[in-house]
Amino acid sequence: MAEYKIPKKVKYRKQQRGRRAGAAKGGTSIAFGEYALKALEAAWVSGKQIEAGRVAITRYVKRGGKLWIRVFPDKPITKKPAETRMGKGKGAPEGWVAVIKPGRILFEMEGVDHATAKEAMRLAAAKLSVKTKFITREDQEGGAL
Amino acid sequence: MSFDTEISLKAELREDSGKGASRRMRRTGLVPVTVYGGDAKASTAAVVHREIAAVLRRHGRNKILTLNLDGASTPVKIADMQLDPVKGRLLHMDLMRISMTEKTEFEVPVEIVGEAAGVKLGGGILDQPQHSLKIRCLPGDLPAQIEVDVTSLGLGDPFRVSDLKIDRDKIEVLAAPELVIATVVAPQKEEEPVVAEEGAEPEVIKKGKSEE
Repeated sequence: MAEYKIPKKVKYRKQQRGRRAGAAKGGTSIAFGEYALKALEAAWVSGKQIEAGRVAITRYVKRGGKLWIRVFPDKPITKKPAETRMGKGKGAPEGWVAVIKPGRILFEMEGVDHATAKEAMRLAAAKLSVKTKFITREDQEGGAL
Repeated sequence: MSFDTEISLKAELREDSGKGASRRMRRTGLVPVTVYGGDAKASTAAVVHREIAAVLRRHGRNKILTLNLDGASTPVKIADMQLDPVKGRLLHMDLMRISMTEKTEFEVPVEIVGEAAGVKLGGGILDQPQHSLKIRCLPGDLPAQIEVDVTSLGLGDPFRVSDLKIDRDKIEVLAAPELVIATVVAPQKEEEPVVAEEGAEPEVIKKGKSEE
């Protein structure tokens, strides 16, 4: 079922949850494409959501355009079974998430027109658990100031 | 010193530095800038956000500005810009003093012209790995953009730095001649993610922690 990319090797099977304070430090500007989807809040975005977003974009643009996925779900999430008493250790790994902070670029696109890219990104944004905005390379060069 | 640049920008020297002072400055509509380069010492100054934003919106980053600072006018280029990662607001700028008679490095955007034959007839996608190029030229010869005419590109054909139609006596491109600026690639196939079935787990590198 877990039909999305996961790390090939990890140092530890389980991780602590951690905090998501502040804005993204890297991956905040468009690096490859012309259009991008940028996160506006902090959240865990699951591998499933990223994959659903990718499928939504590729279906909408059909065979055109080039897509980059700028985030990778490298944090393992655990869950205790239902109706289990507290204690007895941490639960079993259940899935993978990417830790997203505000400002992070999630997807980038190229080779399509503005309207198509915007609509494709809107469809992908609907699959994600973060508020996002659509940006272009021109905005980043000072056009949106 | 005489030079002719169309855009002028007024800046005021600032005494305060540090994040507290910079934040106070931003709240009043100013942007802290650092001016360096040339023979003079580096100095800290502030410009009005509305003015610099208007310049950037209209002309982009690749432009020589006349900076009026402390009663003197100096030609400067925008060496660096820090933007807020979420709001996109301008936080800080580095302005570099340049000489109008010396060759200087600039980063110029690449502008694609025309529709590639491989896209029009072959159903390919135009891929542009380079969105800007570093060049060295006299400030007077600085082009607003470097035009790349892709009309003749078929499927799989690259447009390289060596194919650029520019005056090479005046403009030196600081990139390898074989560097690909644009190419036409075949459309992406519906890529199936390489994965991992239910319950699949990655290999644990460290020994002794694998059992639960």
